[in-house]
Amino acid sequence: MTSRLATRALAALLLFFAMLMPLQAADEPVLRIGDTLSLLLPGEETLTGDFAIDRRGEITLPEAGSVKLAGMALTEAITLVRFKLAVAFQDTARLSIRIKERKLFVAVAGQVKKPGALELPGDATVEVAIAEAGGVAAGAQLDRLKVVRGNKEITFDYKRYLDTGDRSILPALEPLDIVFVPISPLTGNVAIEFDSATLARAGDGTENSGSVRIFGEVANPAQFAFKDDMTIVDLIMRAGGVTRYAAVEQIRVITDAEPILFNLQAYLDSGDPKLLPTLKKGATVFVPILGDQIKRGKHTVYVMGEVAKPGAFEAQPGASFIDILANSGGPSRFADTRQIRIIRPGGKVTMFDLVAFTEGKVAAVPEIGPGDAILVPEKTDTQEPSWLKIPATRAVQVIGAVNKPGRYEWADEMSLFDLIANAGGPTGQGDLAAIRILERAGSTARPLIFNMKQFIEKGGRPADVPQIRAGYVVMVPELPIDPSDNKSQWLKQEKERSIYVMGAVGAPGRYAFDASMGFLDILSAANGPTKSADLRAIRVSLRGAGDAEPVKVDLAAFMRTGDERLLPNLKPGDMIYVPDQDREWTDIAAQDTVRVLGSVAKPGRYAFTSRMSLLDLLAQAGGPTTDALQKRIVVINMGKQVRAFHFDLVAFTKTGDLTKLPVVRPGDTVYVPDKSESQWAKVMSTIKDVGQVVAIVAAIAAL
Amino acid sequence: MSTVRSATRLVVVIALASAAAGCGHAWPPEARGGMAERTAPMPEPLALTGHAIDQALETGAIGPATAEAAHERLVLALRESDAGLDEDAEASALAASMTIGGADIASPAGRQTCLKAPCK
Repeated sequence: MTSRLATRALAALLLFFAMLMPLQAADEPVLRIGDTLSLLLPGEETLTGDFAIDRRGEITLPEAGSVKLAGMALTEAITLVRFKLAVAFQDTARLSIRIKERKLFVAVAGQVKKPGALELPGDATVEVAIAEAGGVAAGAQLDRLKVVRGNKEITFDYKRYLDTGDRSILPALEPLDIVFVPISPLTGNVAIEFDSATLARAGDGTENSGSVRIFGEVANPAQFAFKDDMTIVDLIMRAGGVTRYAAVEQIRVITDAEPILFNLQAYLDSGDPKLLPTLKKGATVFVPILGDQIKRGKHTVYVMGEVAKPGAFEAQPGASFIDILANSGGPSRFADTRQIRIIRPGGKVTMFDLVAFTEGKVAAVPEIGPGDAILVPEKTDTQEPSWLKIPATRAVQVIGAVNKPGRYEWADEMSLFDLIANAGGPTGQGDLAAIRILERAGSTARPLIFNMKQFIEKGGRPADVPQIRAGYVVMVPELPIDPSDNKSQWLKQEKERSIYVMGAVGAPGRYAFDASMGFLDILSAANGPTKSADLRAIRVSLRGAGDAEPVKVDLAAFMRTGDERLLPNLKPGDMIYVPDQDREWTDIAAQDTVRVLGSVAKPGRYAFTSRMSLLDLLAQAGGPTTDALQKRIVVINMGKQVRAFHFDLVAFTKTGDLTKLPVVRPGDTVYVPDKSESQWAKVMSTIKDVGQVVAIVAAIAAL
Repeated sequence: MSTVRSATRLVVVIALASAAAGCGHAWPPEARGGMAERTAPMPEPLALTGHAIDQALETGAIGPATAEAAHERLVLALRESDAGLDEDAEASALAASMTIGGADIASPAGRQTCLKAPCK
């Protein structure tokens, strides 16, 4: 019993000194929850083995019960255990204790994939704990992770650790720590699928004091978490950049209730970092819209009209017309780039043809100075109902027989063909052979006629096509619809384009004529010769220049032979006369007829050709009468020689002797005498007369 | 006797008067040649001219109407020649020759028709 008391006293004394004098060296481990101790007391099986320090920081010893060891140094813990075991065991001084294994009991909570309690290796870090918890889940607020240790919270920027790899950012874990991963306020209060794109748009700032706000003319106005080295340009970029309407020279930065004006344009032009205002937590940035104020600077140039971005621009010294136009986004597709106007401050207007410049026809662009205004007009649509849109100095008028007459905008590089085509081409009645162009120059106008039809059919030089200019009038005349229509339109027909058809035709009159037509065309147009027309004696007066030259046309011979050479070449102004067969006898030339006199049914003058004979002539004249002396038909040939011959028709009818037929030619005369002119008749008449005389004489003598 | 003499004298007077009446009006000679192309052969000069006309037509130097008219003149020349109208016949032959541009050909009367200067 005494020995027990002595032993207890010794142990207590040792314990006292152990408590007074810390025995742990700088590197002596401190027991923690999760450590596994290996005990060894020789000869005592129940005290040989592993004993884990539980979550209460205790181990359970046989006979001694629970002993709290967490937080103790190892040697201290050994002393305590020996003391506890001394009540039941002898020679506990031989008890050895060592740390066999160390573990870390932590919990991971919040926006991780597998939150919960974890048993980690003793040297595990926050990163290991998060990884064991499945990693952070989408929507985790990485810059505000926490380690909760009892009532204490350690907040750390895990995002910065991920950016930099600086492990000192991560707090060391201790047993029973809770690693909390907060969720971003972007996710709202309702659990939904997190959209990472929304984060970029809507910002990640959670508290006003720790974030910056940007709104106005930016793509994604929002509140963003402030970073220490964040500049205003970073913030603008984070917000998706400025819109096209942003007034980048008038950005306002409100920091510490103090507004600062920031000229982003100047900063981008110069790159001077001094122009950047200092951005602080809680700052507010406003990007105003362009046009909130009327800009007027020393080098302001105005671009108006059909450009992508009309407005006022600050033209740097040396900025050219092209620079300014390009700065305004360039002409739109509706721009009339041929008629750009530069309006000077004094009111003077300079015209500039940008198309010609791009084609190399204009060498220089106009000089642009401060206060100048560039107006790019709208392209006129010629189909617009309002014709007033095209000024007279830019229009040509197309009238007459075209499908779309009207006023058309004109450019000098176009041709007459382009114009007629644009006007829809000629109608069916359009006469392209006589297009009239009224050339206007100043106060004078000069008419010109162009035969487009001939040009198309036969070709020609480009210089032969009349040049059209703005202000000209182009008229396409109309052809008569049919010959009868010509009567009502004869006033429209110039004599230089007419031909005259008179006499025995269906419709005599003036007819439109051009060089492509022929004799038969005109005759047909006049409805052709009548039944009584003398086709052998058609006369054509070729008026030409000077006196008319008459030509005889034997259309009957043409009909018979098809000889085209018989048809004359006509020109406008010529006259065709088709005589009637029953015309006045004085109109028939003597050399074309034969005279038939005497005892025939129809004495007179008859047309005669050399193909005929006397028999044809007598038949045409109705034949000899009953009083005709058919034995003594006389033919008088009146050519170079004037000779008379007689023909015995009676004998011919009996013999058919062709050798006795007389020669008859136009100009000759045929006389059929009366029977009273026969010799027997004359003898009998003489006898009768003499007999009467003798009878009278005898009677007187008898008296 | 005197009656017989008177009757005889009367008959003589009547006969003389009749003869005078008959002789006072002599008819022109009988005609001929009106269809000589059917009754008389074409003289060689005219035939040559006709042949030349046909050649000219074939080569296109003259048209069919001109050739037809030229042949008609040749026929007329033949008729006139047969009728004894030599001058007219020569003129007609000449006219036919001129349609083919003129040629030195013999006339029906034996004279040369000179159409191209200088004449031979």
